Amino acid sequence: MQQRGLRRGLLSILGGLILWEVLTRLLLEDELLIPPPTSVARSLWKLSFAGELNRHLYATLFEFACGFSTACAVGIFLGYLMGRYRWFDELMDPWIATLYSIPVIAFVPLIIIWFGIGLFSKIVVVFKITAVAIMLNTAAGIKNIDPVWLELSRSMRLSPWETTAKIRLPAALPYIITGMRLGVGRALLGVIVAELMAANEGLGYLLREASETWDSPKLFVTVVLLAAMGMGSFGLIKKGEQRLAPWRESAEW
Amino acid sequence: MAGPVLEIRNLTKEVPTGNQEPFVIFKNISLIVKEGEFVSIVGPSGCGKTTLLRVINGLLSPSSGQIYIDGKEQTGAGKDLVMGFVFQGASLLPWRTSVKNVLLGLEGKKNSGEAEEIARFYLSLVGLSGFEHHYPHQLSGGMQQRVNLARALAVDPRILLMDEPFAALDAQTRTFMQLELLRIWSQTKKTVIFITHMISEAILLSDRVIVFSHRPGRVRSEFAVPLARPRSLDIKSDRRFVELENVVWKQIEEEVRAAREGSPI
Repeated sequence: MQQRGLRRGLLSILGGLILWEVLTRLLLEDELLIPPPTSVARSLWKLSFAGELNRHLYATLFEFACGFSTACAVGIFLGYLMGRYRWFDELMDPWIATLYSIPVIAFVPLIIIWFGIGLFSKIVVVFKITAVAIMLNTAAGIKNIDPVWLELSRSMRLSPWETTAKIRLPAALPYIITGMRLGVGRALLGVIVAELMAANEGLGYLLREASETWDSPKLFVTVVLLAAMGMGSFGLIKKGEQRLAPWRESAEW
Repeated sequence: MAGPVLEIRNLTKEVPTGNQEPFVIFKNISLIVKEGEFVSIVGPSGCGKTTLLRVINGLLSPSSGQIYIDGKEQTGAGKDLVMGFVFQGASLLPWRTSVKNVLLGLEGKKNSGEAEEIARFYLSLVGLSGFEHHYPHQLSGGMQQRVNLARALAVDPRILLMDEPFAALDAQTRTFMQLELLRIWSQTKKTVIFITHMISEAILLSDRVIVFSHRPGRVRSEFAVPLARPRSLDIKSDRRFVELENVVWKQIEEEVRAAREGSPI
């Protein structure tokens, strides 16, 4: 079943590529508007040979990974406290609402003024755009724990620390993963936006450079790579979910 | 002969209701349970039997009265794990396999090899050898309650508290689990307090059946079950079984009617 689905998906992509190639070759004289897939592939080949691509890809991935893992660590920690203690929840609430409602685009220039155009400002942007989702989901998971499990924990005389590690956090895990899943796409968006606005490396930087030099095959290469990155990190989270929460049938998405 | 395993003196549980009189769940309950005794508590719904079990286990604190285990007064959920609790429904942790669920109360108290051996022993005792690495969602309702029982037994408690453990099972599985409990009990000789609303279940399993009144719950009467062990389903047609069932049923009926004060059930 699954294999057949995969085969059909690949066939569909291949068909789309062929159609794209044929149409652009037939209808467009200039590759500037929409380059055919072969030109994109050639551009990808050239870029990766020059070693340029590696550098940008690595930079973006690194910024993404640093920002996302910081957001996870802080988000889970604060989310746990919000779920456990009502007063903390109420303390955090206005800040989260404010932070959440400022569009990231409006935030980036300020962050660049504060933290420069290097790695750190990207981490801050990714953090800003992801941490809230992880935090709120973790808090919801901690709040919605089945009271029977807490009774069980008391009847087993587990210590508060054991209750957190063995009952509360595993119970909240599906929620935490949902938060991370929501965060991934946003994190990627954050990195690219920050790089577009100010950077000297990264895929966003490449995107801007290609756009300024009207190099549409290069633009397409970047977009394809971004798509691959997004799909890759989604896949990783799904894998992680199956490993960490094998009792749960993974939601379809 | 040693003293009783469990002694309860004048136990009362009230819940404050703001400015009005407190809501009394049960009142002045005194009870003595001997070593190795299987005691069932039956009574109309809402008579406080489940609350009583939670108070005994320290999940709730009593409003007044004392609980002694082996002569030692229990205050709240103490550190010592002297009671095993079998919950009504699905209380298995879904992220743990059967054996990991059974290990919950053993982790950190025994070294891991020994703990695992104990967990496997109790899983086999409840008839679940070969299901050690199944997750709860892969088990049937009856099997889940077996894991539940194994988990409570594995900590080698002085007393086993069972809160309507078979209530959520279908009738056939329930009967089968009753027989399994008879077998497991005869092998472990644990002291058990068993809450149920099913009179035949109480008589089949117990040495003594205690009937609760309607709320506020009090001990209305108690009956020693005059049937020899080992028991099988055949005793359900024994004259003494049927008579006892009738007597208990009449009492509960009266309690239910008194609670409803004439309004239809």
